[in-house]
Amino acid sequence: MLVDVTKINNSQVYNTDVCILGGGVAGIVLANELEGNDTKVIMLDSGNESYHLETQELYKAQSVPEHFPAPFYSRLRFLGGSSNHWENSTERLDPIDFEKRDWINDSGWPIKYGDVLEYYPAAEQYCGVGKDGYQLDFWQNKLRFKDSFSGSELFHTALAKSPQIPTRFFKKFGSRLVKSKNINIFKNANITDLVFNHELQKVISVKFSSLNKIPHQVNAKIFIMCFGGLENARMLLHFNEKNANKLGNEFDNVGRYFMEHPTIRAAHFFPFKENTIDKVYEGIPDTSMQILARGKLNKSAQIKNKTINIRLFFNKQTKLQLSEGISSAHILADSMNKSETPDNFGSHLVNVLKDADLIAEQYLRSKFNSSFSEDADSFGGYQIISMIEQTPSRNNRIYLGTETDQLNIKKLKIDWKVSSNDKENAWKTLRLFAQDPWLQSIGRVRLLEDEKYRIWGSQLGFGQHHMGTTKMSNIAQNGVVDPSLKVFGTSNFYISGSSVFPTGGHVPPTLTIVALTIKLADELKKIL
Amino acid sequence: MTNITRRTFILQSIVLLAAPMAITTTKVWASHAEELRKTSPPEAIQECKTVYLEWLKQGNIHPEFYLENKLNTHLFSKEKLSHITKSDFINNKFFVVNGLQLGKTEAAFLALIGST
Repeated sequence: MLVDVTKINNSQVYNTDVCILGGGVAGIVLANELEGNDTKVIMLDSGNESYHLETQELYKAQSVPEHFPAPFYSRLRFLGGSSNHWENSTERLDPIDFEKRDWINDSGWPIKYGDVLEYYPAAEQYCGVGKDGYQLDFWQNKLRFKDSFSGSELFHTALAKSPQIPTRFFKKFGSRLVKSKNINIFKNANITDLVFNHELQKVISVKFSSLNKIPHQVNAKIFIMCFGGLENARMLLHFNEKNANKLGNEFDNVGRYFMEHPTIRAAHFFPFKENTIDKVYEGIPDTSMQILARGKLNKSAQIKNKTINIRLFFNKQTKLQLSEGISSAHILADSMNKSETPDNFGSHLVNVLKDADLIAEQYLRSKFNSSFSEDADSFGGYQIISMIEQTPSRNNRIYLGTETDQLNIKKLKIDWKVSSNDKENAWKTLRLFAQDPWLQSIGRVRLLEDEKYRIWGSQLGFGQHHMGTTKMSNIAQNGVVDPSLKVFGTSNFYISGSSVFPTGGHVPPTLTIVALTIKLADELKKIL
Repeated sequence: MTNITRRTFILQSIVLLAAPMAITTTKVWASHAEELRKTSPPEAIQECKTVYLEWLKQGNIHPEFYLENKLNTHLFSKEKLSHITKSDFINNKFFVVNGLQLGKTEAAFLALIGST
């Protein structure tokens, strides 16, 4: 059943077995896993079936770092959550992501890769990428493409899969849930408070209302918070304000270790021949799916060089797009705007002069929709786009500000930056690629280290993956949830989503979110 | 000539090296460099001058001496340069100019082209 809270005119109290807070990817998967048995489930979601500005405004943050994407835009607050606008690119985490790495502080998960691996096939079905996995041999055989990294001892090819039409989770699974006999979905239901029995260490109920603020309540045996990487931490901090930090925050870990997937355009690859990189690195369709290959540093090379995981994508570019003169012109213009002189001013000036014709071409195209150079559109090389693993840091955090939203809940503030260690490791990995002996017969790489201020500043990209803010750990001193995703200090309160990741890896988190949620559902079924 | 970005001057030059040419093994480095100066596009030669200036800036001896003394030979062949470049990559002998990662020997050769 689908209940519209705006249509409930008097305060109501509901009783159920399981209360799921949040109707995004994790919430919907959890409800779907519990569908069809004797367990009564209520799922509460702030939004309804489509975007609504007034509800979306509840996602506004009080402050974020410079260049950081505003949470108002990167998240969607209606049924299906951010799956309503994601690209649906899926990859599995690697075994090394779960291991303790002595060169990365706070690395290692309290569960093994194998604990999640068994759930990946089901997760892939949820995400609409089929059941054939990510093995290179299998896909090479099926799609007949060339492994452009064969011959390298440092790198190999990894595959990302996405369906041709992205999976919108509520659109795909919603009608089954709405028709279900044991699931009730409450839309326009904003959680405002939680009642916690300190003696029993039990959450007794949650309070919710629509924007009309008529209060309602759900009593349940088990509660699972599935609000997303930022909102899980925000709401837990909110609940803890009245509960003396007893809900997983005795050691001030809620909101900390916030990780993103910074994405940089920091290198160009110039092959000697145009078709050196197989077209699978640009993505090729296979019936209902898109297969995209990219480069990845081998585990042995990561260990030997004590560096982080990085995805390397190869983006075909024309001569115009790769023009160093255009790039230098932007750098000079940025500096003039700030009344500064950039490093290597002379080199940038020379670049501009040497590429004057391409700069003129760019100007003609942008201002007059005109062109004089056909050659500018010919193949120039590849831009290497790198999504990097961000190492966990306590100082990267989300916390409550002083401003409140319409429901009187404090807005979040974000402190976040890329550490100098992570930057250095990103350059180190790119240098390993550029200096790989296998590469010398194929082409040459230019590292854009002289553009580092732009690369890590105004040009920094983001995966918009919010991770680590209620991290998993074996002990409360180091985390917020235990390996079964139960909040420390409670007996019946769980969290699912990327906020529980102790490390972020270098791949989109959604597949792993779904896998962990299915695993959680299995464990809940044993105790219900 | 293959179609590559105009700013990959080094690579144009390397492509020149890789292109089939009637090079005999009795040619010295300097002679081959001279031959390439005459036949390469002007922008490629201009960029080789950039490599040469950077080569000297990094405190290296003249590229001709480097090539002959370091390699104990004044004989040149495309295959030899290719083989040595591979060895440079394996042994981490690199020369970086404007972020471009080159083997040291191939950089020396490009610097030689740009040295006059």
